[in-house]
Amino acid sequence: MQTYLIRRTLQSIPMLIFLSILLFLLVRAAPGGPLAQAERNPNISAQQLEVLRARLGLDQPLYIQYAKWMRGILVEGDLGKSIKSNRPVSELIGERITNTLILVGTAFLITIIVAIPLGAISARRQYSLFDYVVTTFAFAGQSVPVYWLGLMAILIFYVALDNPFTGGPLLPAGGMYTLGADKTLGDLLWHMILPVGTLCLAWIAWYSRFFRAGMLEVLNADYVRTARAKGMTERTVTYVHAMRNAIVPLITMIALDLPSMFAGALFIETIFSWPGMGRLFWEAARGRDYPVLLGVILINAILIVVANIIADLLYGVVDPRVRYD
Amino acid sequence: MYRKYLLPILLLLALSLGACAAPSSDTTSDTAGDSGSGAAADSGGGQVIIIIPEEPASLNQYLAVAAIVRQVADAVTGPLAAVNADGEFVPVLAAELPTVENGGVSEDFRTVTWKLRPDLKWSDGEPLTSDDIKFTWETLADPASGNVLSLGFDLIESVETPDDQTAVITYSEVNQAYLQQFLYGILPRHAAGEAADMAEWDWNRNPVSAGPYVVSEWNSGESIIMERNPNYYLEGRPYLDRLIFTIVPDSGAQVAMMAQGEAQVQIWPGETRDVYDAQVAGQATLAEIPGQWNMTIYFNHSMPFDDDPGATPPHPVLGDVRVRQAIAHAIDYDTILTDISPDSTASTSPFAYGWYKCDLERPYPYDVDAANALLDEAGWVMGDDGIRVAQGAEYAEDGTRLTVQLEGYTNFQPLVRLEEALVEMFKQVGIEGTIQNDDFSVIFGSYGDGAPRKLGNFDMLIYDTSLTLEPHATVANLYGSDAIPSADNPAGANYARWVNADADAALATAGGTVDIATRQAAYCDLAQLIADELPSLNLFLYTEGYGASNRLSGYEVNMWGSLTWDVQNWQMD
Repeated sequence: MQTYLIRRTLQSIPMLIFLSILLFLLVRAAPGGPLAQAERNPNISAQQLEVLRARLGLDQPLYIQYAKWMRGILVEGDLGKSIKSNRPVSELIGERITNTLILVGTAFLITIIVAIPLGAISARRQYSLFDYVVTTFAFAGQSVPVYWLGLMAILIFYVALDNPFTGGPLLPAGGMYTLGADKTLGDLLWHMILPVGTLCLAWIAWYSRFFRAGMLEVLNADYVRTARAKGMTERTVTYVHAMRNAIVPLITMIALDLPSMFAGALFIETIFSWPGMGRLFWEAARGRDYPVLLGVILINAILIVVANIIADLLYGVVDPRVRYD
Repeated sequence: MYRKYLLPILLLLALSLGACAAPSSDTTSDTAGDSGSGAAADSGGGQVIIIIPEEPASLNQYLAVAAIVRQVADAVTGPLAAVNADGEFVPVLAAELPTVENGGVSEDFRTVTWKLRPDLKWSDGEPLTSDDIKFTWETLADPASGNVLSLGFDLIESVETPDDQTAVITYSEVNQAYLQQFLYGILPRHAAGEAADMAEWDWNRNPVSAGPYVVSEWNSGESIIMERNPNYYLEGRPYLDRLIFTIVPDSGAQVAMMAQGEAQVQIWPGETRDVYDAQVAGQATLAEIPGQWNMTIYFNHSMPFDDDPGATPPHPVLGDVRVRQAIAHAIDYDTILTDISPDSTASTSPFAYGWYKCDLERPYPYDVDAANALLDEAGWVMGDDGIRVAQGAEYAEDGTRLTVQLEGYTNFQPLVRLEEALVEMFKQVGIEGTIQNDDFSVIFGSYGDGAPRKLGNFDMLIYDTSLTLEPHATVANLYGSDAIPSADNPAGANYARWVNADADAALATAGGTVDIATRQAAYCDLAQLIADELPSLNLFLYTEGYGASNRLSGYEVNMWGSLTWDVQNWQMD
């Protein structure tokens, strides 16, 4: 196990270096440049623009820009500075990552807690009324775009419905805290209801569906029939014998989805004015703010690699047939 | 794409259904927290929530590349002089405007003396003196500061400060725009930092201010909160206790907040007034005036995609002036103003406003017959499918279809509507138009980024351009024959690749004098040449403005200023 972990970690280093080169080239291969806003600004002369380009080092050959970027990361542990705001990338990410973890993390947790029992019961009582209701809900949740759900949520809970006590809107349209008021946990939770709820609706649909399918496959397996034949209760068969195996593919899915917690939820963050990673990334991408863009992608890439290693290790925990020698 | 239409429709639906649910307009103080804002409103204070779509990178205008910065930063900026809504300079921190008459400007225009108002203070209580003016120059003239604005600080030879109120500025050469020298604010020597570190000053996000407000809280990506500056120079101003800028990227959510009366100002709604006023359900209105942004088509005179950004060889279609004239004749200018861009005003030249304004009679007005005749004459005969084909055209091989591509930028619905209308109009005269819109960062990219307009790889560019009060550098770079972008001159902006000796002469005349009348006449000559030769064609001016709550008063939309240029005068009922 330990040697496996070391081997996997060592293996991932050249891969990450290769990845960093690829990402750098891909980001720079995208047409356009970071100074478009300046080009449009009538107060900035064309000559001034060239000075700006030179100061940002954008006029140097790509391999030199890459080498500078890499040296910053490896030697100084510095992801560089945003072209747009001139603030350190790590600081920008630091500001946003907590907000995203609050939003996406909560939604993810609720999703897992709700979706697994939902999928399990749905599979155990296949073709029951409960199953039909869950399946219908799941299909709806999968096919309705999340931004539409978000806008509908605002329309219903912010525009149409009123708070019976204050006469104001029932729920806030967006943001993390009430503007100008003190920041309290209660206020934060209040602002989380709509974005988290919207995210959960979509995710629970996916996860319950996925887990139902996994459970169904396992429930028809030979060893489950054996367990039943030995006289075990249906409850023990489902929740002890079948579920443990059905969870293996789910771990893969969770492991692959976990890094997305870092990447944020762009649509939800945009609609509900949530200052998270998704918007940071999107704004950087639109403005070709290379250092921010690369910083976010690189950290995301590292997280995906790490998450995959963790997933592989977890297989060994839940499935004794998997051995690491 | 649907989202833009969907939400307004849904909103209208919901608002009409729920009209009885929101009969009172006094929900603001409820949603704005119970921290006494309701009570403060009675005494003329109160707060205003301003919706902005993106976060300003900093509040230092000299580092500002994006337009949003000034919109917010003017609330914390103290300029010596500002430009009012009539395009006239008015003194702000200065006691009066320096002119030749009052002795503030020397006879040779090279010495300008600014007198500050007495007893000015920064927001932290420190005195604001002429030494801060000197510091502003020292900082911004230093290339290491990273100042992006081209204001001519490098033309200043020295700044003398005989007393705390007086700054005597000596220029090495005449600065035509000396009045806007300090338009973007004075920097405090005691609270800023070294020039070379300007990009990293703490001041940039929490400025010691000479404007009406100071920043009290900056929540990254979410909101910027400002409180009144206790040391503001105007007694009794600003009226409002607090400004809250909230960053709301989604236009649907923005409109919902305005419709609910939660926010009072929404910048850049991107809708016509009728649509907007209906969307916000009577809570607000679109306050707008003709703005600086002049919708322009640039015709490429040179062959695209030939690996040569220069002026030759000619464009196979647009190189012939008759084709450009036919296109101008094919455009139904009135319909565009009534149906496509209803709030706009016509513009007939690049000089559509300001002291250099020059309105012209369009030499090629809407006339389908004239357009057809010109195209026939130019060797483009009508094909079976209604699109013309070259047969004896000047620069195109026989058999070439008469196709032109319109290239604008994405994510701006009004531009797409215009392009689609133009394509229809072109079809009437047998021209096939296509639309190719690029990402903002692509079309306005630099030469090194391979931007199509820089490399000359386009047929017709279509977007809005603007001029400032001092237009010369911009205009000379757009129309001078020495400003064709190339590897040697990547900053050039003569995208049409227009070479015209008369135009160069007019530019030389306008650039060689400080006499306003001479300059204006020269610019008007240039405008006439442009209208005749058609390197570019101006269509209309977009309106500029913002959604403003019906409870807000005292504001004035100013095309030369920003949203917050007069924020000290705003009041809430």
